[in-house]
Amino acid sequence: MKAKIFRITLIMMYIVGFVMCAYALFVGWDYYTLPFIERPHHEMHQQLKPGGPIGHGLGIAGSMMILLLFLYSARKRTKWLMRYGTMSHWLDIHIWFGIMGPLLITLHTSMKFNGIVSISYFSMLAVAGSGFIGRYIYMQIPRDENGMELSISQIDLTISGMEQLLVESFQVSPDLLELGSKKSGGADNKKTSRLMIIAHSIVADLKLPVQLYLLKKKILRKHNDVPPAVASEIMKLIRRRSIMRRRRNILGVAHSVFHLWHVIHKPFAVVMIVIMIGHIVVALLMGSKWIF
Amino acid sequence: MDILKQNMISAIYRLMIIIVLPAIMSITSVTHAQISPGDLSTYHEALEGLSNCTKCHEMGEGPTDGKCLECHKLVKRSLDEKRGYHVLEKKREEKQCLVCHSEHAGRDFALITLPETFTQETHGSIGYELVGKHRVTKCRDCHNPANIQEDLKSYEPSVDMIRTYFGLDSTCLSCHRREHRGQLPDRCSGCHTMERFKPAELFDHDKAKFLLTGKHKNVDCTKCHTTLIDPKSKVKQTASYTKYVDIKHSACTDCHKDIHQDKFGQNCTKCHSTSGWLKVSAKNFDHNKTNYPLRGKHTLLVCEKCHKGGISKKKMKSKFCTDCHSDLHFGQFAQREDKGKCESCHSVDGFKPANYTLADHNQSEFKLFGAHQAQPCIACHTVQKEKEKEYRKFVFEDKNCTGCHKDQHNAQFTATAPVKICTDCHTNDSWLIVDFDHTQNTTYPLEGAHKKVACNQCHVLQKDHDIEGFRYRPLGKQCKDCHDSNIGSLTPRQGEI
Repeated sequence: MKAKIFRITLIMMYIVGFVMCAYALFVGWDYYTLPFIERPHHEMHQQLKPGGPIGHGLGIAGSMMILLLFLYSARKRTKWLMRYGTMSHWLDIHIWFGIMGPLLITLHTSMKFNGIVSISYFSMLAVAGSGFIGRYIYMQIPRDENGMELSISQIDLTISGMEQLLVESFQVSPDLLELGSKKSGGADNKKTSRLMIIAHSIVADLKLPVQLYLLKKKILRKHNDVPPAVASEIMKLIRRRSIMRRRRNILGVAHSVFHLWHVIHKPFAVVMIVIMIGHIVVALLMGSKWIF
Repeated sequence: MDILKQNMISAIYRLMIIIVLPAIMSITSVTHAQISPGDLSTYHEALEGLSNCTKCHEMGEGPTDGKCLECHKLVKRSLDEKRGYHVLEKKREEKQCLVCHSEHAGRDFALITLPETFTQETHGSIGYELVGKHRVTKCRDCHNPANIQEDLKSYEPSVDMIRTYFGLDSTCLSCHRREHRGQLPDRCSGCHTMERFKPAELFDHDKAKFLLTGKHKNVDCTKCHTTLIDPKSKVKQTASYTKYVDIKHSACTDCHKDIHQDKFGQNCTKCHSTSGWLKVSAKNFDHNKTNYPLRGKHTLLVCEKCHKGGISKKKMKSKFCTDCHSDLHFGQFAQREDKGKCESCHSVDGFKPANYTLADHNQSEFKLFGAHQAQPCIACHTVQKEKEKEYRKFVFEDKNCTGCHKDQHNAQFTATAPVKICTDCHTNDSWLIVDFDHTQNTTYPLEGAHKKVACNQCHVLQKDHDIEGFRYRPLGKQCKDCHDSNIGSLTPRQGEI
C-alpha cells in the first residue's frame, strides 16, 4: 500500500514538475527564442534573465534540487538515513531531482551557455544523461523489495520457484518454458565485451514484448481452455523468469559496468557541483541576492 | 590484486574526468569572460576581465547606480541638477541604470536605445519642446559633436562625443549658424519661427529705424538688404549673408539714384512720396526748375494735361510746341523762313489772338491797305474743310482781288479787249470809290450833258443770259442805243431790270 501511495505521489510530482517547466517555457518562449543581443530590450528581460526574479528563482530551485540529489549518496553511506525509506524510493526521488533540477537550471540559463559556469551546466547534463544509463544498468542487477542485491543462489532459487509454479500450478509444458528462455535473449559469452553484452541486453529488452506476445498466442493455441486472466498471469511469470534468467547470466558484467558507470557519473557530478558552488559564490559576491 | 587494479583504473579515470574535462571545456570558452555572464558591449569593452568586475559591481550589492555614475559624470550632473531625460525616467519609475542600459549582452549590443514612448512629441517633457521643423528633424542632426558647445571632455574624459546626448543648450545658436554674423541681437525667436527660417515671419519692420511705407512695403527685402560675403567663412555655400545694419537710409538717394542729377536738391520728399515715384506732388513741385519752365497759360494747366498717363521716367520732348500741341494750320507755314515756328505768331499766353500784327502782315507778300486793314482776319482767312481737316486758310495761291472777291462785272472787262483789272478802276479804300477816267480809258468820251449823267443812267442794271449786274460791255455807242424818241428819256434795253 505504501509503495502504491509512493508511486502515485511520484507520478504527481513528475506531472507537476513537467507542467511547471512547460508553463515557464511557454511564458518565456518569446524571450528565450530571441537572439541574445536583442533580449535586453524585451519587456520580460528583467524578470527572465538569469539574474532576474524569475530566472534567479528558477536557478535557486534547480540548484537546491541538484544539491538534494546528493542525499541519495548520503543515504547509501549514512547509517541513520538508512532507517528512512527503501533504496528504490530514494533512487526514484534522486531521479526526479535529477530530471527536474536540470530542467529548472536550463530555464535559469535562459539558454545562454557561456563562461566557466557552462562547464557546470554541461557536466550536469552529462550526469543527468548518464543517470538514465545508470538506472538501466542498476536495473540489470536483481534486488529484493528493499533494493538490496540478490545473491546468485537467491536468484536461482527465485527462478526455480517461478518455474515450479508455472509447471505445477499452471500446467505449462517445460518445452514452452525453454522456448521462452531462449526468446528472452541475453548474451553470456565471456569473449564478448562488457559494453556489447549490455547492448545485447538492451536489444533483448526491446524485443521481449514482441516475443512474449507471440509466445502467448502459441500457448493459447495449444491450451485453448486457459482463461485469459490465467494466461496473463502465466505470461507475467514467464516474463519475470525470462528477465531474471538474463540478468542472472549477465550479473557479473552488470556489476562490472555499473562500477565503471560510477567512475564516469560521479566525477561529472563533482565537477558540476564544484563549479556550481563557485558560480553561486561569485553571483553572491556580485550582488545577486534574488528577492532578498 | 584484481580489486586493486580495478580501483587504480577507476582512480585514473576519475582524475582524468575531474581535471581534463574542465580544462578542455574551459578552452572552448576561453575567449569569453570565464565568470562573466556574457561579453560587455563595445563601449565597456575595456572593463572586461576579472579585475574589473568591481568597477561596476558593488561587492555583495551588484551593479549600483553609484558605480555607473562614478564614470558617467554627465548623467550624475543632470540628476543632481534635476534636469534632462534621466531625471524624467527616474521620476516615472524608480529604476536602476541597468534596467535601460543592460550589459553582458554581447559586443554589438546597443547600450543606448530610446524607448518608443520617447518621441519628438514628448521631447518637451525634458525641458526643450520640439516645435515646427524640429519635430521632423532627426535626433542626430541636433545631437552631434558640431553642436556641442560645452567642453564635455573636461567633465567626463571618456564621453563619446558622437553618441552623447549631452552638451546642447536651448539657444538657437548652439545648433544653428550665426547667420547674421552678429549684426542683430541673438534673440532669433523675435523674428523667426520654428517652422522656417525664411521668411522671418515675426519680424516687424515698423520696429526698425526705417519704417516701410507706400511702395517700400512691396519691395523685395534683398533690394535694400544686400548680400555680403563673409571673408572668414571657409565654406563657400555659407559664406554669404544679408546686410541688416549700417544701411544708410537718411536720404532717398542712399538707395535710389538721383535721376535729376541734383537739380532739385536732395530732399526728394518735397515732390515724391513712397506711394510711387511717379506720383509727384504738384503742390511742392517747381516746374520752373525743369528744362521746360511753365509760362503763361501753361501755369494754369493740370499736370496730366501734358503728362498724359502720369509722370514718366521717359524724358518729355519740349523743344517745339508741336511736341505737345497739334498744328492747327496743317503745315501751311512750313514754307516760311522760320519753318512755321508757332512762337512767331503765338505765345504761351494763349493761342488766340495771335501776335501777328498788321505790320507783320505787311511784311508778307500780301500787304494790307485801305479797307483791307479794317477787315477782321477771319474775313479773309476763312475756315476750310477738306475731308476731316478743318482749318483757316492762310496760304493763297491767287493773291489778286479775285482771289478773294467775286467779279461783280461778270468778266465784262476780262472777256473782251481791252482787258481791265480791278485796280484799274477800284482802290483798296472802297469798292464804291472808282477812280475811272471815262474819256481817257474808253472809246466813248463823255461830252456835254453826258458828263452830268450818273453812271447807272447809261450802265443800267441788267439781268441777262450773260450778266446779272451793271452792263459795261458791250454797250452801243449810238444814241438810239440809249435814247428813244422822247428826248431826254432813255430806252429800256433788253434784259433791263
